[in-house]
Amino acid sequence: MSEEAAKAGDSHTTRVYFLLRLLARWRPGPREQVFLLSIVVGIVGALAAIGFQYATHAIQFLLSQQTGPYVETFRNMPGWQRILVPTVGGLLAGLFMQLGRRIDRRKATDYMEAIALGNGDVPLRPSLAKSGAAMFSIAGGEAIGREGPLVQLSSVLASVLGRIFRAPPPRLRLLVACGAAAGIASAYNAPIAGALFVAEIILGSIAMESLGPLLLSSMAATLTTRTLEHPEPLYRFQASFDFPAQSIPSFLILGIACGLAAPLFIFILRMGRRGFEPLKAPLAVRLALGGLIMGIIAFSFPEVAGNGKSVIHEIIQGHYDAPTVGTIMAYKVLAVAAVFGSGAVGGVFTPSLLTGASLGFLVGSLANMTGLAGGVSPEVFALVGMGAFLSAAARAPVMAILMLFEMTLTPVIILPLMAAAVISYFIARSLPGESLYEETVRAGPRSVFDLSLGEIRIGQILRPTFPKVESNSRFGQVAQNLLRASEGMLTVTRDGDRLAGVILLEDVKPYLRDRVLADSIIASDIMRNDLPRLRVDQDLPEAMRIFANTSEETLPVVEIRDGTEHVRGTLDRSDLYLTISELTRRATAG
Amino acid sequence: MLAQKMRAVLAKAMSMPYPFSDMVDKARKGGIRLEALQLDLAAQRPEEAIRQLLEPIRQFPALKDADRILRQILEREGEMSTCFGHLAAFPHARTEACQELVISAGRLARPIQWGSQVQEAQLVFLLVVPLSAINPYLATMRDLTHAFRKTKLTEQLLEAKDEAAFLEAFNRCLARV
Repeated sequence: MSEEAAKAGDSHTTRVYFLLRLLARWRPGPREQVFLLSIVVGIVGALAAIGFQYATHAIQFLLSQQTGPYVETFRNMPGWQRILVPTVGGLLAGLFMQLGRRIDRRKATDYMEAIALGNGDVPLRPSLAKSGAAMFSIAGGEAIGREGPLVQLSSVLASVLGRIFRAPPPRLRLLVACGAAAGIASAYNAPIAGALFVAEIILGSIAMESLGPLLLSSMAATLTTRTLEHPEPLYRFQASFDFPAQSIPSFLILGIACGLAAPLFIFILRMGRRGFEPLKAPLAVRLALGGLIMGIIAFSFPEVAGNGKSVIHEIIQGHYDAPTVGTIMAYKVLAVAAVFGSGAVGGVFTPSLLTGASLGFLVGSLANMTGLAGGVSPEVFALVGMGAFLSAAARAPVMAILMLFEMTLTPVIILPLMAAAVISYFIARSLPGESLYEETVRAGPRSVFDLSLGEIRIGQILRPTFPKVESNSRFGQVAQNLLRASEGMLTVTRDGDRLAGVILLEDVKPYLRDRVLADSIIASDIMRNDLPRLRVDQDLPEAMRIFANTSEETLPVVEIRDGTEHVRGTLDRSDLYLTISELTRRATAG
Repeated sequence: MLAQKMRAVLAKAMSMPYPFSDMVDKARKGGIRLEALQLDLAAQRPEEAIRQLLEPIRQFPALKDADRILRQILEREGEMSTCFGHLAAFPHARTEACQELVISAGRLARPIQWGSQVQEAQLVFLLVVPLSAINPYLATMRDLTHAFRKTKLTEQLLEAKDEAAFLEAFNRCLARV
């Protein structure tokens, strides 16, 4: 090796060592930990989504001897098979779920419920059973979206990861939300909308405290998916077009139509659920019946098969005329209501997009016939209709606009979409009925977040596991624990859990690696007693007041018993903010 | 003209002492100020030695309640012996009863058992530390422990004939840490 090469090698090694030392000394705080975990959650969520997709394709092949878009495969099937495949898919999905319930009787938290409500504790086995069941429903070509199980899968993985790292309820919940965002982002190749979907619909807040990790998770998920899978936007629109001013009224009409149709769509879905309620048959039979109804519709109209993605493609490419689109829309809504009503696991996101696209196409055709369209084709109306309908159905206009932009990468639709999405949103909101996800969100497991601000006690949101040392622990032990702790604080106890004080990293940092001091000093020599502490029975406003008077990011939480303070955990400022933010959102939402 | 003035201002600024030069110097050299020094301690037990070391600083304005301090030092000693080895012990307490770090040092005529049976001390440095002075306490402890561990401080302090020799050896060794 030449001298120069050796020098370059040395310099490279030095840099690597320097970086490694920096990394070894870097101690991420609670916020940085959430950021890091959200990225990991994003990657894991995307991998899970890809795995889910491959598994579904494999089951699809086993059921129909074909793979590819469901509409295409259904078109290639003989009539009897169009009925049989979704029926068998539904039956297998039901049997799988029944088997899952035998193994673990806990109710699988719905993908929305897990994040919107609860403490972020998503049970693993029931959720896996539910996602597995969804694979059979989807592979059977049932008219249902895959975003539900995808989000469920990535959410449960995020929950498991958070539990491994012993995240307290507010942070665990945020991580599960990151999982959901990752699932949506990877399913729709839409990182911003994935984050906003969760922020706007589920968390109901776009505060950076929660939006930051959601964005990171979405970004990581999308990058992973793009690296391994399709880098293309889902619904690329090739034709170039412009919007003349005279076309705007017709987009406003489209907004009104979507605002009126979305509540009707949700109502039909609910009717589907109610229609199956009197049927006291086992789940497998119910799901098979849902599949059978869908199969009967698909017998004549194979376009109702699957989530509707390929039909959307065909609509925006102008493969259909208005009467066909109208027929597809009507039958698709019936098929979705039957499958959704039978209790099949899945989402209604893509079916909603298809309904919106169809409605947009119809309004666009009408506008063209009357000359109001200003030359804008019905296909463009279909694109705008997707966003406007989504905005009204999910009651999330910002997410809908961004989602459409990311799915189509057609910036020129943004202006008419903004007008139509806002109008449809306000019209839908003024009508009775709930949004597409509201009922699911409301029906989730009860948790600490269902209490009012004054009812929650610090004991319910604290982090029960925390770094601590006994007061007579030597400095070497203190240093070791402090270097491992993420809080920058070590609780010092006497006789087990009696609070003696706390040691702050900033007080002792320069001496942590001093080996001579390691045996000469004990924890009580360097602990502080002047730091405020929280009590388990204090409420959140009181905790806010105490945090407002200190610069510390973490405080010990104690329980006073027999006149002494017993440590019960620690509370991070960021967890307190997350809790209050969620409670405020719920209070505002009524 | 202007350039000359600027040069003059610069020269003046450069010649001025650095505002924290004392502190920096002290920190660099591990400077430790002994408020009291007794070379003829006649204690048989650690408690006696601690009492004797506390006497000369009892009236210090920085100390508010010497009895309380004594109690706290003994309590601390009960938690874990402060005997360091090298015939040195550093009894101490962080207390609200003092306002600044005060050190009283002493030398016993012969080593006494300090803490466990195998540990002995002949050179004792008593530290009274305010609650807020965690960093000065750690810095002092680091300087003392390093000085005893890495230099021949014990031998030199035991051989010192008078206070001046003791202080001279002490400061010299600390400066080398």
